[in-house]
Amino acid sequence: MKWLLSLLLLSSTSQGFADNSSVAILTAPDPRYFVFFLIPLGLLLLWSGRRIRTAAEFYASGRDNGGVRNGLAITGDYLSAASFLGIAGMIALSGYHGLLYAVGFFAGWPLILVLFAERLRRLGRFTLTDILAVRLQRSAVARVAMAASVPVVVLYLAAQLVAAGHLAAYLFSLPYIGSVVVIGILTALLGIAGGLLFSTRAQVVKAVVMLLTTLLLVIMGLLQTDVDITTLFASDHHQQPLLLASSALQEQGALSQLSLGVALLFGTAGLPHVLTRFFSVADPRRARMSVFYAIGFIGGFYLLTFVVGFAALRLLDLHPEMNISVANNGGNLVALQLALGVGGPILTGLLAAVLFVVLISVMTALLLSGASAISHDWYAVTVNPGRSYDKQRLIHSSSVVGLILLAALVAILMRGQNVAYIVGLAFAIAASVSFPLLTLALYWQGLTTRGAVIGGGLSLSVVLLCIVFGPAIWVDGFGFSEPIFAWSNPALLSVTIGFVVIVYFSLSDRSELGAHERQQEFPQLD
Amino acid sequence: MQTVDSESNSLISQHPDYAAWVAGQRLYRRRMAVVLGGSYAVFLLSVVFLSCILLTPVSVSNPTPWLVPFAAFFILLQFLLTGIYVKHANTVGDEERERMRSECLRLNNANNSAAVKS
Repeated sequence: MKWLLSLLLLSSTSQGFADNSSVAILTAPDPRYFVFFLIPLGLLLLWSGRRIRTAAEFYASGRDNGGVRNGLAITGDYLSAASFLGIAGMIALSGYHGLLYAVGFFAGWPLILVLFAERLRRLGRFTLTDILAVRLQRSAVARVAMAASVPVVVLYLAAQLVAAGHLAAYLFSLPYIGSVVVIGILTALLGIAGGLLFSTRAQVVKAVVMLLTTLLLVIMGLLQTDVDITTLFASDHHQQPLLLASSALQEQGALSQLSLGVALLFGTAGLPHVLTRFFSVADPRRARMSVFYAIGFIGGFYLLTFVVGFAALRLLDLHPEMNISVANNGGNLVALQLALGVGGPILTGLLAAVLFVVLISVMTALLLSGASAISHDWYAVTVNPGRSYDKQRLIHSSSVVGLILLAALVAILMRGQNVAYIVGLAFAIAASVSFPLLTLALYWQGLTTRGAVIGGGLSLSVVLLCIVFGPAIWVDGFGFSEPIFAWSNPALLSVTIGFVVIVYFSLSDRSELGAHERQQEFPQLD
Repeated sequence: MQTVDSESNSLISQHPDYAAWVAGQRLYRRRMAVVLGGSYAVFLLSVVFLSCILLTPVSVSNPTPWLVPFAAFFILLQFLLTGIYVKHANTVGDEERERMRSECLRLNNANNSAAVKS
């Protein structure tokens, strides 16, 4: 570690920050360092665990591990390079607004543990379809669960693609669209080949590498910007005085801010890959301890990301000629620019390689999750239960291609958006559809298939329409001057509508099936 | 309705203390959910509506705005609350459940033996 720091300091002194050589900061990094770190990192991940092929292997892989180890595995599974890049950029571009994201991505976890984890363990089911199907009609709820998870997967995937596209474009001086296409093809090929569902050990390695690299960037940032931690967060930065002044948070509008807070809190529970992690540890005591440690690691990571954003802002202060918006409209590359400024091409190469590996693994996992929802939960259960294996595999591969095409299209439309903002929109969809369905399925005897299907469908339509007619797509994507829906995140409205319509259509269900479902014994989950 | 713990549940549900234990656990979890959700609501509402106050410096010598220690405190608080919950669930909750389960199991075995003898 010590030699690496010395090497990085030496490299940065000759390259960028300490000698006020701003030209070096604005120059693209040397991609050879990226390749230099990418190869051993990839080999380390391949070595650290055999590939998981079946769900049973995935669940079994974490069962014999201790709390800290499983906590790190959960952290590796959840930490997103896109949110890291996005939050750092958000802070550098709009100051304290980024803090809401840093806290919000973390805050959902304790609530999931208390509200859902115990009940899900007792129920023994961890996907939305399985949870709803305990009391409701499986084929009907499989459709609504698929419809709820696919937009989340597409938007979450698009956020990762935006980050990866900008990263590749920055490293190799490629056009953004070309980068998105190349990375999309690579991800689709990996997805069709079976993906990179890493074992627990590989997830641990991923989390440790990500945490250590972020810590290194923070240490280098603090050392090289020659600023102590108290003045780092001062609100008198020259570059963003207005954004950091008291009006900054209000500029977004109080309701948009509240809406974002709601999306980040409740959206975590609705993400397709989060709940399954509670099942990968056999012993409930160890499972709780794992989540406790994971919450510590995730909280620590987002605090570090917060510091990275402010260190980048400090970089802006010292180098006024450097304009983040010029390099990338969403500020998504600010962490890499900070790395180049304070650690030279070596730190940039290391950070880029770590982020790239994490991005690719998250993208393939998302692709597989979305494709499974379509090919298994929907096609195999509702459309063609007597299908052949080859037919289902064809549907799976077609779903992978379809999902990546959709995500690439969204990524091109949203190329100028901050990545954390796009992730926030994916969280809004999860919070508006999956979260109400999950909560009502676990806590309310009155939920019926009709309520879940009609209510879930309506709340999904509302949240999708609000996003399409909102500032991100209607104004920035399609070029209209004013959004039809003004809030930057619709969750406050759509989560409320989600609960109301699901409850309304359940209560007004006069069918025999509805009466039967209401009378069914509610599982003992306490 | 088949659940992972269905056999264990049906066994300990016969214990006289079970209903009170379930009610206690439920109440504890709901209180904890209210505290966790409530603290997040306080954080969110403060950031949205009290940003003018939260953006004032901590002191003359320390220009860090109050918002930064406030956010760090919130993250720490959530972590500590989670720790308290996990400790409670792993000790009071699980140990009491295990005690009731083993008592019911003993009683069940004794009844089975008596039935075989008779």
